[in-house]
Amino acid sequence: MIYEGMLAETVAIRGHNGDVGEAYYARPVGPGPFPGVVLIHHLPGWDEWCKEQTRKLAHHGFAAIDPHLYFREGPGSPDDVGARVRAAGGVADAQVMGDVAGAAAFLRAQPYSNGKVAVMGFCSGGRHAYLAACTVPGFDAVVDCWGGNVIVDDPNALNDKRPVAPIDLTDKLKIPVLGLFGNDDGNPTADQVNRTEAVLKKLGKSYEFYRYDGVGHAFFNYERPGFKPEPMLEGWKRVFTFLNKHLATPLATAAE
Amino acid sequence: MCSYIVEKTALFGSAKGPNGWMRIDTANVYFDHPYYTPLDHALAIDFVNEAEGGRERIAVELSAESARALVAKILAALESGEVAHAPAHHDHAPHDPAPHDPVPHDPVPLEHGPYGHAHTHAGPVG
Repeated sequence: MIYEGMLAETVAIRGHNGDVGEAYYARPVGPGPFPGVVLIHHLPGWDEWCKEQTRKLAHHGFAAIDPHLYFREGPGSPDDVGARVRAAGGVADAQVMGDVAGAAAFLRAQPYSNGKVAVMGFCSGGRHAYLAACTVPGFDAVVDCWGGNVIVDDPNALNDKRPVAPIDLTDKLKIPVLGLFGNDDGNPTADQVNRTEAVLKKLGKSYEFYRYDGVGHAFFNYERPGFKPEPMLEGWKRVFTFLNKHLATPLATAAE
Repeated sequence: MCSYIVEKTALFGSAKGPNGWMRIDTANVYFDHPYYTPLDHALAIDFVNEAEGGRERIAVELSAESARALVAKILAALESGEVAHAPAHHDHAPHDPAPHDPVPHDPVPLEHGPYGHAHTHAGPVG
């Protein structure tokens, strides 16, 4: 019999400016060593679906943490807190990066960590993941799931909270990138994905992009009509292949 | 669209939620990924009282088609209701600001009883 076990719970992490916030944390039960993933939730908030994806990562052998990016507007239910954040113009990139760095530090501090940590995100979280890959040191890989606004075509869309288009920081990106996109998505559009890929290619970055025909935004999300089972299954397979390749335990890798 | 685009409008009124009736002074309106409704995008309205911190909200998420239909029905109800309740020319209701007066009146008449307080930015009620 193969024993499977998982511990999933809310934990406290120290984020941007040392602020103490909450995160959803799921990890396999066992001595490890386990690689880690910081999973960045989508714009609607720290919802049940994102927590399920955190547990999915744990089910596949990763210690995964999903920081609540809107905790400062709490207490309250994640949807109400998300509405307050939206009404206030959203979260600042610098604050999110601080929280993501704090979540990564939490993972690395666990005794069963193998020292490797990826950053991954959906939707606006995909954009945040790309930004973290460019600006937060220490990550080993990044997974961008249909992150919109990595390319900003309208300069008026930049503001104090989001002052730089992530694509303009690509020269600072030093880790492998996995990108999953639907060709019918409106944000990012297929053209924007092509332009992102062109920048990565031009700068000699390590990347894998997978595009799916007949698929729009958020096609992993079974709570939305855009859900597509086959691309979702294929996409998760790409995610786990990529993470296993780049987050392998160093000692095990050396022994091979 | 994964955006933070919000259309805000000041308003005068009340809304009822899990904690009972509350005065509302603002509607935040946006079209984006919903939290609960099984749609890719939904028209969301959060009714809040910003003057009291905006912590509590009364929220709806509607399909684009429903939202447009609702707008039409709101306008239709206003039109037919205002005709039905129109005062005679010689008999202005106390809460009806004079049409030529550009300064918004305090829209809270006595008939609103316990809800009445100074409120200067909203249009007339009635």
